[in-house]
Amino acid sequence: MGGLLLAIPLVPLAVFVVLLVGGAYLRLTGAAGPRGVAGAAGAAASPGAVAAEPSATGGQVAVVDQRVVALRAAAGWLSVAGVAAALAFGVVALVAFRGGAEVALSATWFRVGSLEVPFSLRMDGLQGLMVIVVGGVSVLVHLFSVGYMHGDRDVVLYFAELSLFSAAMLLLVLADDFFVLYMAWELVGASSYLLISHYFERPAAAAAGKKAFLTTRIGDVGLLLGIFALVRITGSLDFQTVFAHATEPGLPGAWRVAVPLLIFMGAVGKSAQLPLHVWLPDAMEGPTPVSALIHAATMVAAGVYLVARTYPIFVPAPEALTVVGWIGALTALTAATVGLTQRDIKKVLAYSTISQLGFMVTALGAGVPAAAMFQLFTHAWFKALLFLAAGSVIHATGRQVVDELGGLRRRMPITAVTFAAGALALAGIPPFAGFWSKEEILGALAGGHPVFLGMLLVATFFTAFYIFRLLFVVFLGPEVEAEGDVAAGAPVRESGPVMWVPLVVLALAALGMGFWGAGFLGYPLQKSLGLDAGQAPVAGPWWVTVVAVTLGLAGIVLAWLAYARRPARAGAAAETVAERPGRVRPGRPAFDARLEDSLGWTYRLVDHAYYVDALYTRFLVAPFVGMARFLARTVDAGLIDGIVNGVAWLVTGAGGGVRRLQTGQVRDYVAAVTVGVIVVAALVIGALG
Amino acid sequence: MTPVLILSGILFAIGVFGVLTRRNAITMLVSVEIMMNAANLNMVAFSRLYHPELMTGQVLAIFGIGIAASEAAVGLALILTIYRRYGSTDVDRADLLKG
Repeated sequence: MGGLLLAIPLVPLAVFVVLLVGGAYLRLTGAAGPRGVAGAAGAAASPGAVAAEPSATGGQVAVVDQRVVALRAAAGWLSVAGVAAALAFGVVALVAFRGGAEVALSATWFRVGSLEVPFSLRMDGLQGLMVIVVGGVSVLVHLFSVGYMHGDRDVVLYFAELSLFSAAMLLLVLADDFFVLYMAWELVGASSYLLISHYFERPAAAAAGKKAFLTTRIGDVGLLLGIFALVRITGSLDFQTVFAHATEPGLPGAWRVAVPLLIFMGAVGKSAQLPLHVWLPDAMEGPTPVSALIHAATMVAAGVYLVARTYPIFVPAPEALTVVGWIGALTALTAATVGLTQRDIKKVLAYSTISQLGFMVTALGAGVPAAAMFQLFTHAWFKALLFLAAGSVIHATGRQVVDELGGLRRRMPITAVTFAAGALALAGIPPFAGFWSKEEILGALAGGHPVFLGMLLVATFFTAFYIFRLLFVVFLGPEVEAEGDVAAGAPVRESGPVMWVPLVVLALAALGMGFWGAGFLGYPLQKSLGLDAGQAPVAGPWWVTVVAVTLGLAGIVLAWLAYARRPARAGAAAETVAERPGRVRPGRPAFDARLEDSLGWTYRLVDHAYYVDALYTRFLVAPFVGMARFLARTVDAGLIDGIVNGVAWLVTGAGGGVRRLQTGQVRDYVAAVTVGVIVVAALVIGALG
Repeated sequence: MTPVLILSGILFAIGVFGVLTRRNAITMLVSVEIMMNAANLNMVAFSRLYHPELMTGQVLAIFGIGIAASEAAVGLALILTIYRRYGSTDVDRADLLKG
């Protein structure tokens, strides 16, 4: 069965290699024209590349272009097939695991001194859950991308990167030792960087990729140090050995708390928790399907999965779990408030993701990893749905700011309905998936964590409010005509089936996936995944459910009152704009402006995400840049160059001084010789006596 | 012997003085010849003093005179070249080696 496990990540990896090599080959042989594999799509519209060729080779160009067209067309479907095959293999492996077989692969990769570095994969309940989430969402997102990225300049590169990401994520999920885990962890980070910076010609996208990479890197350092400590203490990288050692006899001294906290640092970076959450909103610069796959469903879940996977290390350290819980609860609450004010659809969803990840991390901290994983499972579907629906809107309209959107329900009914399904699931309204998983978390918190419970209930209310604000503003109300788009000729209409089919599938998942883990069915998810009894969640008290649903409904009703009634939009009347510049923008939801007027600086504080970015820029980035500038301009240009130039100056000066001895006058040389002879003669005579 | 050595010392000093003070290349060459003759004189004198039976110094002096002749020829050729190059035999003007 080991080979089957290996095949799961290898299939998308093979697709990655094929697309990369194929794209590079066409690029190097010049078939793709000067702008890379871009060629074919642009060739028809802009005759640049082809027209530049001499007409004598016209026939050949056509043949070559045909290859590019074929590769571009095949890339998307090839990568869909790759992840679909991986998902199929994963399901087969999971079925085999449920049949009682041990589905594992273990080999010694290499040795360093006395340390044996293994390469082990394992299919277990937890991994099975993640394989279904990663594989399932991947297939749908790849499919959606075929439509969304159609005609993109670097579509082959895009699908290569997306396949690499899927392969890395599947490898991460299946890893059974810290070495493979860390390798996949970094691969995920690297492919995330590539995908965020896919539109690398936009400075914002390039900067966002760098920011994501560097920010998560801070967490990765913690994870790496934690792994180092574990290897030092236990002498092994294997999960089972390490976990056994961490349980009995336990990690020595302060390491008992330090190691889980270091590992959690990695999770904080990848899962965008406070204080390393800043990269996720910026990561929305990437293509929207990427946001759906990476920054909602799978990659950001890697941190939660990491903690759940290494939970035996956390169990003996309640102090570490308390830290985990607080960070999760604070993240859930603050990110939910920021979601209330954002203007960019994707920014709202980004903060929503951070907030929902906070829910999961809180559950981890409260000692119910199964609830966290259940929330991860349901959240992956409905958040991918919300992102893809947003992508559908962006694809159709070319706009993503709420001011410029409105009344899309008539033109994009499927998108509107599926978005509503995702919103209901996010708000935790029964019977949608989010309800069941949120109840697990809140119910578990009711038994002993009243503070966390309170914070998450408030976050639940805000969640319902911000997501329905988005729904009402974008899909209800009058249509907003912004200059320049519809006038250009293409009326806004529903996206094609390759895009709405994934939406519908995800909407059904958002509706139904919750039952699979719900209490009244006896937790079939946990049972089918073979999670042991200790991880099976306990049902919370009934009043938590009532309060949570009431708060969710209250959020929806208030959002309705605030955003769905007329006049929904701020007027563009000149005097109003002049009186309150900046606050009243044409098309801005009227309630936003009212809210800002009444709350003042509080609103702006939230609107700017508590100025965390500004603080980082001011107190971390600016000193760092200042130090770099100091090193470059003062130390390098002054000290280092000074030493080098000083040596040169010294040699030049000495040479210039000595040069004067050479007068070119014969008599001076003769005089020198004479004096020399006299001195030597005097010495000789003196020596002889 | 002392008077002979004093004479040769005086001749040598005259030659050195001439080489150091004169700017004219021919005068310098003449001064060099005077120095060589001082050396020849010394060779004859010391030969007579220490090995009167061998005539070594006298033979060496004759060789020295012959070599002086060829040296004068080479020297004059150089001076001729300098003259062609600079239009005079003033060695102060031939200072291409100045640093």
